[in-house]
Amino acid sequence: MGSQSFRSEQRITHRRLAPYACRTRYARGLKDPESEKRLDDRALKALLEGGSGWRREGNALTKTYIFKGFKAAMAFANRVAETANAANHHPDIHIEGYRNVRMVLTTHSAGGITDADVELAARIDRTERAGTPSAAS
Amino acid sequence: MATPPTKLDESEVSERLRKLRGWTKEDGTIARSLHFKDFKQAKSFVDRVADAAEESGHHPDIHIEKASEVRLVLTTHSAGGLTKNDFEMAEKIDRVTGGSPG
Repeated sequence: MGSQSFRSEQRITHRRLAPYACRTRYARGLKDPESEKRLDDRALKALLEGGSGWRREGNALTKTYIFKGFKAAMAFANRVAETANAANHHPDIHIEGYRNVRMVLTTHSAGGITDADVELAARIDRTERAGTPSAAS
Repeated sequence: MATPPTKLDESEVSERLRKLRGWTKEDGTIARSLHFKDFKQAKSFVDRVADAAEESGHHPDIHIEKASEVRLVLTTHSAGGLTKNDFEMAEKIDRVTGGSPG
């Protein structure tokens, strides 16, 4: 069992079943390097227009979450940090006015928003729902 | 905590700022930026700052940017500017973070 054939099989799988492969790689916490290069316009549109609260601001995606206090805000920031580590894609995290957490997502290497940002935005929202913040805006 | 802190005047701010290293005055705030090797280190620094903030009940704005940069901004909103609380917090942050880079 040569490692060469394993690698080429992986490549084919990835190409044929791209969406599925991406999801599983992502779920395992492995970075999909390609996701930092492309942007699925439809996925971005769905995020921005689907009432998620994410907005586009220049070259970035942004959303502010409001919590009861500093402790809850920090707990959320910590969960986001874990999510970001797993995805190996890091948002700017701004903890402001002791209870607001403002996220700013962009892909510096690409100079703008990519699939990695859109995917991370969705993951941050899931992280938020897993906790119990008082409100989000 | 009991008595609300009063805003410091310019000369008091300058004097207190002289005693701090790495902090700069910006528009009614004092700020410090620190650069770390990676996100993990930046995060562990932020955790220590958060603990110190919780302890004293005075919270800086914490900005984690480009995965490895941390910017801290202190001000006292209720006083509309800098108070002794901000400088005490800055000193405390510097103490708990010891020989942090930046």
